Amino acid sequence: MVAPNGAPPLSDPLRSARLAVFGGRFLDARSELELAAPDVRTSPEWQLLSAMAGWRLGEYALSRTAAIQARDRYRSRGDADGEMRAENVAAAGAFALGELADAERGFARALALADRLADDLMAARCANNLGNVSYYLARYVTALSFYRLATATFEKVASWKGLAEGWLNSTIVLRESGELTAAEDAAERAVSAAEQAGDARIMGQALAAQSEATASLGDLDLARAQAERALDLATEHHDPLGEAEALRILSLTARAAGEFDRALELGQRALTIAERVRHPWTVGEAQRELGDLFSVVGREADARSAFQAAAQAFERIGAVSRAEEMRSR
Amino acid sequence: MDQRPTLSVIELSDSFHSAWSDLASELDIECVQLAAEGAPSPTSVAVIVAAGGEEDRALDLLPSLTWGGDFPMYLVGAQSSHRFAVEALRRGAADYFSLPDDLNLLRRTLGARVEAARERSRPSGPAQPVADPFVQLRGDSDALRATVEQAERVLPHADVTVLIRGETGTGKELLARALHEGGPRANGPFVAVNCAAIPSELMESELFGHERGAFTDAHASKPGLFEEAHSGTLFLDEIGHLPLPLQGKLLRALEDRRIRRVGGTQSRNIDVRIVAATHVELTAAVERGEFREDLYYRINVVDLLLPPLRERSDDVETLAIHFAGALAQRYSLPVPEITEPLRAALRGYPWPGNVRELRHAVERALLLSEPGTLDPEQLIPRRRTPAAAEGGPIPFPASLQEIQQAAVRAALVQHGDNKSAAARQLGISRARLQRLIDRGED
Repeated sequence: MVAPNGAPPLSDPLRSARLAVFGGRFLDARSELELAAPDVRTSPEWQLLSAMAGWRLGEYALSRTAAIQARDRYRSRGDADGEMRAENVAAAGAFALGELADAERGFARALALADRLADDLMAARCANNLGNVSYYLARYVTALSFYRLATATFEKVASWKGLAEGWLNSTIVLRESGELTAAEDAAERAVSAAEQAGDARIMGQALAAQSEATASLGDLDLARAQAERALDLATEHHDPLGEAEALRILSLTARAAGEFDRALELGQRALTIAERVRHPWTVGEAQRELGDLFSVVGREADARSAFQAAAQAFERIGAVSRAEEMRSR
Repeated sequence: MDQRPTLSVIELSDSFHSAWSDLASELDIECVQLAAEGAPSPTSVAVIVAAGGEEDRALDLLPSLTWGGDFPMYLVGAQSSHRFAVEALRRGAADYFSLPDDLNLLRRTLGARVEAARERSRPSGPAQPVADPFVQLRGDSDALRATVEQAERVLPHADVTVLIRGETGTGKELLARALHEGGPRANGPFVAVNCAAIPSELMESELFGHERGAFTDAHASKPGLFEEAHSGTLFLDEIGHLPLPLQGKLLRALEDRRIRRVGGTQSRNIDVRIVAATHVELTAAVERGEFREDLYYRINVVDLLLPPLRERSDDVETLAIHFAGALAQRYSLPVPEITEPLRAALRGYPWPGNVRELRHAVERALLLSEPGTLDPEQLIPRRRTPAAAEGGPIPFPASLQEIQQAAVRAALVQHGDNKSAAARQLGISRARLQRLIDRGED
């Protein structure tokens, strides 16, 4: 191959790393990136790939730093598309670290860029992420507004998995806002979209959210049946977070039915799984459920301790309002 | 799209020849060479005109390269002049990439196209007009058939506004979606918004979008649902809940076909068909001065009435059988038999919540009955109104204090004794809730 005008031949030292990142082989990607020559390591793409792999490997601080460097380099060369992607990864890092104000600013900038570049899929993801930030900050009306935008945009690009996630998130916020019928409707939409996506993991999570909405509407028998199906799906498809969530809701239905021993056993199983996968939000939710259970059976000291543990978990991810709510109980 | 996405390449020179197959391989798509006079495959995500060293020839060729289909044409060359890039865009290219500098940008641009194509190719994408768009409405009763026949006559008209009337749960959104998917706008988006679910002070920014800083909580610029629905259909459910001042803005948007984001200075063209729905009589709202008459006539060009389930009792069994089959598949259960006692139970209930209630009832019975059966006993929903169930019976007439205490008890039970959530639901401060609790314990 000969390039015209004396242009250098096309060589791409990052190809293997890129293939590994997009193929979900993040440790391989890390190894490939470490093999890159020094001049390649200063390129924004190297930094962005490092950030993406790092985020998936749970190294949020490193990921965020690399993403910010990539973003600044893309910005200085006027590459809006690269800037948008790097901004999104940087914001995701901030979100995981509980720095919600930074996360919100970053996702908002990425959304503005996606809007300008007419990148609907990225716009939908950013809107969904902005909804999550607002939810953590207990700004439910704003969260729902972003989820509405996210679901409309995911539907526009026929991203069924994204649509399922958007409706799942809407279900949770609507239920917590006391909009139970709307929550049930959103849950049904989440389950239908998950079916369309053919994604068992998100299907299980959507069924769990549906079961909690059903429980809030007072139909405990149906809620339990739905949560059991959610648990089966999560177990079958190795989704520990889904498992923990389904167990927490089964604990809630057992508590509401007066089966306190069973509720305790289920709630503790949920907590164990959430702690094992180190997911603060799920740990907080499991502790909150245990706190509610201990309160109902009169174990006040245990309840206080569970609520304190929940508050600490929520604080770690910046969900300050929720943490305060736990401390006040 | 069932087949693998493709990258179509028109090579005017052999510069960068191996780059196209490499790029395609990275993106896991096919690379297809195309003659200048050829037509790209419908599976194309983009057409690349590869013109390294032949840029001037490419500029001459570009205006003649026109195809139908939803794929952009990118010119790729070695010149890095802005003037050349502008000329390429002027002559019909969607973008110009100068290699090797823009290789990563080209890769990401194509990656985004491939990703979007793959998302669209997931099962049952809504983009193609469907053979029978009304199939989801299910039923053969005279009442439903009359509505569907009317709707079929509207199908070919892309711009006509439609007002769908019907009780809650009758399938208004399904009918709106059918009008979209069976009509000329099927390739555009369908955006549904429930006006009753949005706080009135947020409604304008939801519909028209806002710029950052337009109001206190506007931390980010945000496109509105009108923009999202561009080239498609915007379904405004429960349009009767639209605040009066916004009704005027909606009317203006429909007439001018332009919108402006809240806090924005720039108007944007919009091409959106409106389908509205209501479960209340809008004429009465017009008489009361709660709904603008001019907007009412603007949206009510075609009026479709969806009958309640009690007026289409012949359809109840058909719908129940359909839901039983679909839900059995969802829950990996055997499809249940529809027995005579079940038929009697289905006929004997008025279904005030219409199709939505019937669907929930079938789901409940399916999950709580022996596999392969639907126990009629489990069919009728046993939902408690939280206040009645958890608050206990309230004497009638009750004192204000008794009503308050029942509401407090119900909210606390509903939220697992979470006082903040209970207070939020009751619309009072947490401190006031605590005072009410303390008073109840006196």
